[in-house]
Amino acid sequence: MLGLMRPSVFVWFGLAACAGALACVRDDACDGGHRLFGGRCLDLGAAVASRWGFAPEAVEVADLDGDGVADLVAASPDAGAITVVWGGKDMSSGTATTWSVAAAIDGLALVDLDGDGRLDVVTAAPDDDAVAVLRNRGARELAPARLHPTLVPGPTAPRAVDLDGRGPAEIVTLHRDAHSLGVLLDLKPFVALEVGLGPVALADGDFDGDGRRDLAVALAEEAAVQLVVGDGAGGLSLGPRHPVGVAPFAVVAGDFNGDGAQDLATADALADAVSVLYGDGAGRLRARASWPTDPDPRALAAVADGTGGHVLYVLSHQTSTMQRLDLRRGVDQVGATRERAAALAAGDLDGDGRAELVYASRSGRELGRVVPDAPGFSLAPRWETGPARRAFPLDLDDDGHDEIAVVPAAEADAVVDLDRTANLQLWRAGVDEVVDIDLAPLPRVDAVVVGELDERPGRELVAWSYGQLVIAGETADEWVAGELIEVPGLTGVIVVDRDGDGRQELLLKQFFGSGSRLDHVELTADGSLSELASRPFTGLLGPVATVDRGDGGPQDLLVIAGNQLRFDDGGDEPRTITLDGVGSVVEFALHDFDADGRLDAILCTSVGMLRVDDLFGEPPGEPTRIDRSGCSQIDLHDFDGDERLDILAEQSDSSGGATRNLLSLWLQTETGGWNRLASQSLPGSSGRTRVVRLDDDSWLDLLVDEIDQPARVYDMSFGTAIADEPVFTGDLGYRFADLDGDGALDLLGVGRGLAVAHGDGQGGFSPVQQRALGDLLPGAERIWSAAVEDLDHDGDAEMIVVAQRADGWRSDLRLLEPGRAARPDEPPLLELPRVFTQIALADFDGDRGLDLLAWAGLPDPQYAVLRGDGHGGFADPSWSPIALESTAPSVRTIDLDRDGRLDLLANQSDGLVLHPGLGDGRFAEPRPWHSLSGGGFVGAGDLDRDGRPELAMLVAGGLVAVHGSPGGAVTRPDVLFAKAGAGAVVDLDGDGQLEILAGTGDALHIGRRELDGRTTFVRHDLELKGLSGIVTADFDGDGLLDLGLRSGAGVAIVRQRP
Amino acid sequence: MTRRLSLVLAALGLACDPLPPVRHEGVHVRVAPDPGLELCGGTLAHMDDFVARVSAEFGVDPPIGDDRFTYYWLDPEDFGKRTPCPDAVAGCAVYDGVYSKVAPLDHELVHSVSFAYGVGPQIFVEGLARAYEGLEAWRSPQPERPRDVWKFVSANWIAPLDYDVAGAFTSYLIARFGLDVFLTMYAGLGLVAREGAIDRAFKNHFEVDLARTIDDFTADGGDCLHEHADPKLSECGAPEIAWDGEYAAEFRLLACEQEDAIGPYYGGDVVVMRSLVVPVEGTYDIAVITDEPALAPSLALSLFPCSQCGTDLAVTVGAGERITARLAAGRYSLRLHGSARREARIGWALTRRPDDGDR
Repeated sequence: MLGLMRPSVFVWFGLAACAGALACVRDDACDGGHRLFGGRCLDLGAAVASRWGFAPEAVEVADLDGDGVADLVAASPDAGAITVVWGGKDMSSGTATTWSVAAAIDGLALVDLDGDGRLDVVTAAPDDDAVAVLRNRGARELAPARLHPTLVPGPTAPRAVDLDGRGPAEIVTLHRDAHSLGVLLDLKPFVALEVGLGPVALADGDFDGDGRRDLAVALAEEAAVQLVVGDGAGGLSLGPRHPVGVAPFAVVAGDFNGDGAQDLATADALADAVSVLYGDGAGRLRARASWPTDPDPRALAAVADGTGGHVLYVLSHQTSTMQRLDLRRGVDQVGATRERAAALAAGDLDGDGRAELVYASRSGRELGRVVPDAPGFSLAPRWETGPARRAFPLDLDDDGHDEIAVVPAAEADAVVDLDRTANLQLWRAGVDEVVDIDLAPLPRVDAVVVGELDERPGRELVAWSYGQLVIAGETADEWVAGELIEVPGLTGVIVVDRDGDGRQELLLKQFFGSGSRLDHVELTADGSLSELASRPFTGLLGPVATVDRGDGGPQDLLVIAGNQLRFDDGGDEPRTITLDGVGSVVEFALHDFDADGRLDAILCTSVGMLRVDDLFGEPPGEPTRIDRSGCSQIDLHDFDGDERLDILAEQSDSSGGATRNLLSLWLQTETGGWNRLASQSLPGSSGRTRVVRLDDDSWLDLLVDEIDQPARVYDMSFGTAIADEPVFTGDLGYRFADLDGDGALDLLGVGRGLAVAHGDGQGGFSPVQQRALGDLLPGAERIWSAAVEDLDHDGDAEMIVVAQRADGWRSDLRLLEPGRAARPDEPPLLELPRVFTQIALADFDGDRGLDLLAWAGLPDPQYAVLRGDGHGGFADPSWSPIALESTAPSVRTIDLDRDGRLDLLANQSDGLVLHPGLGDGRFAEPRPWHSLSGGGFVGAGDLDRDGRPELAMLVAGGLVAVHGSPGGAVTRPDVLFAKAGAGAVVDLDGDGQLEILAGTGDALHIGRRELDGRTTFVRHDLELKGLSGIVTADFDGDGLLDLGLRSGAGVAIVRQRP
Repeated sequence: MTRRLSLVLAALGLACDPLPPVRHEGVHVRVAPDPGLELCGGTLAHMDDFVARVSAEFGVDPPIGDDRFTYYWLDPEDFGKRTPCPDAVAGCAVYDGVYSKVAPLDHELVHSVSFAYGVGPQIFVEGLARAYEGLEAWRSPQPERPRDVWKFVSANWIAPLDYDVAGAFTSYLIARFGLDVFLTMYAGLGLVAREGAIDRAFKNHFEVDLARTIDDFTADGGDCLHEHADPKLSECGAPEIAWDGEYAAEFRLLACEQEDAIGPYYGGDVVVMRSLVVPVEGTYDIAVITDEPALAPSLALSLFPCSQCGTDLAVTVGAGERITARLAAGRYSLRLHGSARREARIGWALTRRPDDGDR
């Protein structure tokens, strides 16, 4: 038939096909956007980016609002935002405003550019090859950022310097890739000058004594400071170059030796030193001196010392310790910030005319004050062992002094020797000779413990590696290891005396693929191990300790298994000690702190360091938080000699691309409270710090055992140190809601504060205003969960929140109106039975009014539906048990069975579980829905058009469609888009067909499932980097669904146009 | 395999899909990458340097002019169809032609040099290449491996060969009998020589039979890891860092485009090679830093001793880490590791510690 068709018909069909194709690929009405199937346009090209992330790397102190009180101004480079924390009388107002600036920013300068008496904010926008200026309009308002191009690309580190002496100051920028310095005069490119490799930091002053402003540039890649001489008219020329240590990352000017001349100091990161270039008083730099510092110094601040001179504060990037360096006296104080600090700045915070110091922490999303002369402790390195893999303190000879057993790092480690056997070295304080112990036939050794395991005098040494151990005894002149004992899955050995007979036994920790086991064994006369008891556990075994409850019976065991506390009193099964609001537990220490005869515990948990009194009571005492920061190790010891045990808490920290161990010491007070001393920090990562007794001197000894490193011994002494005091955190969780009833979605951030930005109806948002939670909800410390709705139909949204109290360990249901502070005596809506309770608003009983669902997980999972009265009121709850896992169960409300009643879908470890709604506020017994576990829900819909909904989930493999069924399904999910890190499934244009959206970091893929089951995606590259989530909502209030593309920095709103 | 047969096979392979034109002309190597594949700035110079060093070691003239090796760096897609290589391999060499999915792949350049001695049995063809290929982008010694030489003595190009066994055994033979004697023995073996022929060649050239040699290898040399046995010709011959034996430090940009940056290897790595002479045995602090924390996991410094199969340790320090290590006196290969995809700045410092203090 085809052969009979005339050629003109072919041509016509061809043209039609071409026109159709062109319509798909070329559409002037949707340029840069995505044409939806129904004809509407997703206007990707006009996406509006708003940034509010808070991860500061630069901070300045200045009175921006002219109220006479200093404010803190912080720049968050990756977030592209500037935040001003408005000062109050004690800098703890928690009131802040964040302005969106550019995709990336760098540095900060505060200067009155327009002579209106108000400081304007300047930052560099390196990706835009420009400097961004936010004009200060007064009344705590900054104008939107305006970009001013620089002469050379990639500006960084802006500094305001009045080079021509005429005012206002010029903006000087550094350009790392161009090895240059640039000047903007009246915000217009004026001059650029090549200064050398790696210009990273800038200081200004009159360095040549001619009365004109000069510049000093730290050249990180040339180990030098380049002086740039000003001619007083804005012109610059290269001056002398001064060598300093390798990798100078910071340079500051000041009079550091008090001779009245201006000096320069650099932080030389790879020399672990500060270089000081002394001025001679006649405008020349006359000499260089070098001062050792903590490792990797990166930031400096010069603070006036009150006598006309300056002291230096040096920030170590490796350990985040601050050292106060008075060049006339040396380093006189040290202290570590608990969140890793990225920048220091000096300014008069409290208005007393003297400068104080502040720090910015990018990883901690925190600003804080530096407090010198605080109570603290110091660590002085004393000695170290030879090359070591691991080290363990042991009192082998029972003389009250620890020896250090070292697993040596042998030269033979360079080769593979299957016949090698292990040995151990014993190091003693004050003794040069090292005792070698041959542990053959043990092939290698992971750890050693010591105990009195047999009837013979003298202690035994137990050495083990994975799956095998040996027990060594001391003969007349040496230690002799016994036969190799195979213990499958052996991962740890603990010495105990559970029966209290003075002869100790061993607990053997074993891990198998299916779980763990703890065997209680004793050494027999023939050198073998005899099993006394064995106990299986779920999950990996962590710390284990014996518990003597004073009942005269065998000691019980407290174990961490699968990050849960398990108590084994010899009964049928170990009991799980689940604590309300406490997630995982990684470490514990037991002691009867309140001397009531019952054991209390200090716990390292996912919600901080907690104290729990009467841990073994049923129920145990309510937790009290000692420290919001977590810990990885704790050591109880009476550090201050007041006969009360104190806490040395250790926390490994690998934030910011460097590793350290943070040590915090909490002294127990007479009333049972805790006083934290200034913290200290040591380089390292996976080690352990222990208090040891090596000799009889008055110093406390600390042993730092770092894997594959020599063991180091430090003397610990008490005195004054530098403390950190957080004053602001910007770590909030954000969502969108129409707070003001104008139809456009607003931004709401909740957590330890409350932040709001109003949507402008065009996809943009106002600056984000953050307030301290305590100002709005007196007595509240943190919001765990929130539901937003205009409950009373007055046009403004109300928030119902689960707020944890600042005092105690309880949460309340409270009403929060963003614009109104609650009265201190305002009672909560409801006292909640569980700290971590989650809530959702929906119609659960079919009366078309909003009800409030509240649910909580372990311990004692339960839920309640508080029926709404339609006017913002809710009936009292009736709590019912519900089968949910974990303390923070992942639950979603959805009508998955399409019966018109909302169900609960729980994402559990064994898969997705459906709790069918009964339509009266109750839920039926749970039924498995699908075996998939661990995915993130991104949408639901009938993707395959079989009449039943599928769930769209994000899993490691990408975006998948999960076909479940009420009885449980094990079908393989369909991959909708591999390697997606963000996703959504929604009918964007209301044509009844689902759009599938997949994000892959810097691209958005929009697909549509065809009738034949195929899905074709169109890729759109995004300016936004790090796309991490896709929100679909009507952001602009025009009745059409838009896209919110989330990243760590903020959101880009993509509007749907008719 | 004869040169003629190889060339025919190569021609058959090439007939299916054209190979890319030469884009980089070196002294000893010409590189023909597929469109979109870019060498790092120092890779061609490294290839030239490597070929010159291996040629000198093997006592042959490095190829120049029209005899230069041609290195085809090809997209993995359809690699097997466009080259004489099996699809599953990373590369292969057919005399002066190298076909590779990655660049550089010095292993194949050793093949091209060793063709001057003919083509021996697989265990020694691959063993020789493995023994001299250097460190590539490896940052730390690889874990222990089986050393069962007998299993592979008669490897026949079909069954899988353990390159580590072949390399370790070959390194052992060269260390024990000398490279000249080994190459003479190798040149006398044919492509399909098996156990009997190898045994005879051993007796003839080494004056010890194969069985005894393998026993000796197992007893004396089988535990030496490849990274320690390899002479690391380019790595240890790299420009030497001038220092006083007490402190050396450097902070620099590490970018694929730089003239001393070699890459991108397999996974987008970039390596800068230096050598360092430690004048006296001692304890040293080694610190590595970067000012770009997000890239820290891709940045590292490695120190491999140039002494072959000695007892000195290799040391690898990631950015953000600082360690203390005992270094024996002698020459080390010092390499800086980074990502070929994203430039970053890396700094390192090596500081000798004072002798142990009192305890």
